[in-house]
Amino acid sequence: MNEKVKFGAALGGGFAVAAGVWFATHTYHDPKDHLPAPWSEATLTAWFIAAAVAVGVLAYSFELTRRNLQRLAGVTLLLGGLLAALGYSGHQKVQENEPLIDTLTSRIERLQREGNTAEATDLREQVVKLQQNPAFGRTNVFEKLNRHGEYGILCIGAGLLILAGGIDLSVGSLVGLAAVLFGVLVEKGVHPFLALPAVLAVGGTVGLIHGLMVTQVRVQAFLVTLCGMFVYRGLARTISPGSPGMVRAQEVWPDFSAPLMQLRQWLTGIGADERLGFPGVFVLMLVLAAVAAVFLHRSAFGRYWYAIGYNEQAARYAGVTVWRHKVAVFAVCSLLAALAGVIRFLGAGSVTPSSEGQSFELYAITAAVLGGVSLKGGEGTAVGMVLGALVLPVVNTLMNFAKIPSEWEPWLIGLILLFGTVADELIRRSRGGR
Amino acid sequence: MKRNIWRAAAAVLAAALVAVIPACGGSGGGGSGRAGKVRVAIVTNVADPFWDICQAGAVKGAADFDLDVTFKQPAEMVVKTQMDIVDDLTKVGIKGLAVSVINPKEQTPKLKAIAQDLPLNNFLTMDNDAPESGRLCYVGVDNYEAGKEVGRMVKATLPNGGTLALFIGSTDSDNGVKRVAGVLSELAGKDVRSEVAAGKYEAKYGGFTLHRSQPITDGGDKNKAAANAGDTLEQLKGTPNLVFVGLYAYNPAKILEAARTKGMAGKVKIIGFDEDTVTLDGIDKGEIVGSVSQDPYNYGYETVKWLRHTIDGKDKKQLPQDPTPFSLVTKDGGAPVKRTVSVNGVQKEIEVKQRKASEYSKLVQDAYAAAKAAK
Repeated sequence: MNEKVKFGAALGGGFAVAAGVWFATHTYHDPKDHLPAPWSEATLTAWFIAAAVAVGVLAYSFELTRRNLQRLAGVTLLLGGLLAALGYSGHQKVQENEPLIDTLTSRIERLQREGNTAEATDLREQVVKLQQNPAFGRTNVFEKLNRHGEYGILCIGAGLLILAGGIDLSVGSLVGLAAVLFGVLVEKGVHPFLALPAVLAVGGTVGLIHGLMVTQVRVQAFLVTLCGMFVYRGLARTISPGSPGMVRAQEVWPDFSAPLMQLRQWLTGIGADERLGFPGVFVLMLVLAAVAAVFLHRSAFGRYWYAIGYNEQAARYAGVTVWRHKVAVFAVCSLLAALAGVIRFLGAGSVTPSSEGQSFELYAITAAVLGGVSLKGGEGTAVGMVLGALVLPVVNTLMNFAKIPSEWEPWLIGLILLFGTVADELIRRSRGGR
Repeated sequence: MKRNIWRAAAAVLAAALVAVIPACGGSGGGGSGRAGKVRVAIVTNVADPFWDICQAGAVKGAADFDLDVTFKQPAEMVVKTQMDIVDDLTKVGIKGLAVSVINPKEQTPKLKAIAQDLPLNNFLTMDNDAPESGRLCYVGVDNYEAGKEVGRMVKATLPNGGTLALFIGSTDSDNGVKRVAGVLSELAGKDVRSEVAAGKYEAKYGGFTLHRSQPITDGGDKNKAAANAGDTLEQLKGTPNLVFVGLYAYNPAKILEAARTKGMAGKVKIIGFDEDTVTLDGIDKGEIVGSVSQDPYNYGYETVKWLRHTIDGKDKKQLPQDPTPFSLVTKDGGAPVKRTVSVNGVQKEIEVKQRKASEYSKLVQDAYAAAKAAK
């Protein structure tokens, strides 16, 4: 097929998907969900276009080979099952409401007979709300997409690194350090717009150091990043005795109020009234995934990374400057972790130095593996990483929707992830994978 | 090859089933969620045995006040983790919510929005308050005053002063700061809340030398808490007038366990907080001087009671305005003691209940059993 036609088709598809989600969540939502005041049409449009283009680029870059599709089969089926379960638990909520809906409906009929239309309309709105499946309410979908975005940003970094034959166990601690550092910088009087690049620079530098330690000093990546895990956690606790927070920062620096809110709105989609108007983190993640996809599937870099991950020695003999590429991928992974940290600070308003982002490295690695990235290196797709990162947020939501006791959650999550990876492996094997 | 595909499909189906079964079981006929009952939710700050006792109280409350109570204990003490759970629960039609707020100042704006959206604004705080969040009432002790009570116990145990080692999970959290500040303020005889909040500590508070000039934290890691206690005991071996204070539920228990292995139990004075099984056992055996209890069972019961109160549309003025009183756990118990404390900024005389450790221990065990049965 002509590449231009293909690209056009993918882009069109992206817009169609984005428009579908947008309209579905807008026609079908809780009447109480309202668009927060500060949202200008222009911002929303820009975001919408960014999301649509990103989806298009992701689709275009994805090579439609049988093996690539096989890699996605497991995670797609798992997600299908989980989403169905989520929808079902929401549906049960509606069923629980049925007696109440019946009472309200008969009251509406009575009110209308009596000519009291105002109150009847009020009640009808309530009934509509009760009849809706809460799992598909707008705010709920947007919130879950944002959580997906957060995991996705980490998963893209971890996925690229694993694919190129590395591993990073310090992601969680670095998320914590970046979140705390951003908060501390702002509280110390650094303008939020400067603090963001500063934190990202710190993240990138940390990754560079990891890469150089691995390629030049020849220490195992596992060890370097394991030590990093302790170092960054300790640093996070050292630079901040308590929990840094947005409110505290704004009290010290009232001037920062506007830029902080602005930054939060751009990066997370939370408006000044604390309500989520648009899944900002999700869109950002899609854009990053699209960039990663272009690098991976449509550029020489991607070829090199796959080659290095598959067989480093062979890549070296083929003339690839292995160390430079490895350092770059380590830097990308840490940079994305730092970005996720800042987003976490902005989204939650405050972070706990001692445990923020704990075990995120494992979530990111699990998500990448679920999405078809081989732990042995040399295999994986950008689309897979995005899908893999969706599993955990959906599972977590399901735990809360389906009235599952807190102490069941860890083993249920573990089993679901295990089933996912096993299914993935079996599907791949059945088709004579690698 | 075909058979393999089927095998894979079966595995995925099984995975989907794992997800679906609890979805049916939970909100279907069985378990805590019977259809038709009004649902409310309680979200704690972290998973802990302390909250299991509270859950038992909430379960009793659910039965007494005919509510379906969802009780969630987040895996870690992180604002985002807690608020994600709250966000999810507010989507499934709860008619009331109670939260043990991790970081009151920073969570207030978001909690305000959540309180506004809840039916009848039925939002309470428990255990850790966020007064500006629009919560209808707060169920819990004043951690600063409870800390001061610990300080009083320290002074009564060693009237001539001595060396104090202070252990706590974290000084990030609001209740951590307040408890530490309470103890040190009582010892110093002046209010040191703002210094403690800023992480500034002195070497001496009144007649007591603060070991390492700061509280020793473990970040909620119980193994680390045990190691901290053991190392500090080793360091301070032979120092006269030694008192170890543990301010999170597991801290006094870990101190006692370490002291027992080093043969120092009974020699080092230990004063605690809450009602860990080991702590109560230690108090009963005379190895721990005493403990200040928040009565978590009562937290759970009262929270459900006041959630129901608002759902029934009763007068909001009847909701409790003052913090819940704390109680003392000692070897022999005894008559209530009178204390002058600050209640909402006003000095008031209150009665502090004294519980006998062996009797309280039985109550706690019953609560654990009830919580386990409810799960």
